[in-house]
Amino acid sequence: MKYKDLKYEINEAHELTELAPALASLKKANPFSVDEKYFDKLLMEILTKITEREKRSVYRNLLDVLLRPKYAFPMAASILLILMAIFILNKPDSIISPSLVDYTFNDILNESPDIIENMDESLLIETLFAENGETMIEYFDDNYFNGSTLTPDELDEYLSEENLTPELFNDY
Amino acid sequence: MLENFPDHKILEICQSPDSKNYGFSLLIKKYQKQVYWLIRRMVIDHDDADDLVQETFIKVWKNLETFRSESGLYTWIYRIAVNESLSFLKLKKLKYAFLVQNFDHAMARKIEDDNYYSGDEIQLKLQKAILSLPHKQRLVFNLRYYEELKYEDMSQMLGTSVGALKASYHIAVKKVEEFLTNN
Repeated sequence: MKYKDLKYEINEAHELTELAPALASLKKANPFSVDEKYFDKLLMEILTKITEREKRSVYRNLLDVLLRPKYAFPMAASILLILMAIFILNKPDSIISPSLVDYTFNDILNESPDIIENMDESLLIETLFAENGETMIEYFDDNYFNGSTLTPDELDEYLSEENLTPELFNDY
Repeated sequence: MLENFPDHKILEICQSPDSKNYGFSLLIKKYQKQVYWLIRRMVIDHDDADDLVQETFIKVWKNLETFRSESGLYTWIYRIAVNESLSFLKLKKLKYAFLVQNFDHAMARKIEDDNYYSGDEIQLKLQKAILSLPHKQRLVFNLRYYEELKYEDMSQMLGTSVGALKASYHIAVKKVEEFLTNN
């Protein structure tokens, strides 16, 4: 032992004896213990943990890079554009092409009256009536009934000729 | 035998990528016991100490390339171990405070129930006295009393002046003495 170290130890012991005699009188011992093989296994446990974390950190680093604003914003914009393109390309035709509702009854009559003859009548009437009910009534009134309306007697006569009973129309 | 293996040799071996793993194994073998006992005396519980020892060496591994040998290797490893222990105790104390329980009493009970505690009555009393100290004072006491570190080394390790450390140890010793004589 070097003189310097010896002097240091003597000073340290002296310091304690003066300061705390009860403590100095105690035998300095380690009261804790551990499994005798603990230190043999510790090295392997640490190395295994390091390997596991390094594997995990590869993915984490990649994620960290991708989440940097420099990359994240352009990537988010690209994804948004791709999604918009997919949405637009997959839009159903009925949505892209104008529906019957987009036309008024007068539009059809003025621009292409032939279209009425080539279309499913019930669908045409149902759709157009929803949007253009009043115009249609006026049109049929003017063109087919010459402004006149059926009297109750005329209606009964018509129904009996067609073998239709008035009860059938109660629901309408 | 490995205790006498010089630090600069270990660091030299660690510098080369081919032998880094071997160098690190030597480093763990050389310091594992010292680091474990330092941490164990601070946190008392073996499982907690085991986790913290592993975390300490993982941090050493991560920062080995950036380590500058101006401070000694052991000083650097001890500093990491000390920081890990103090952070752990701080967090644990907060958890206990949240549960409205006394952390120091819980630690003292842990010693009594510990299967790996082999001290006698007077040693138990001493441990309880040490546990009654604030964390940093307890650390200074342990480093000086058990590890027998010089104030200069402790100063480098903890970033505290020698004067402050002497004062801290003085107060800690007085408190322990008082606990031993009064209880």
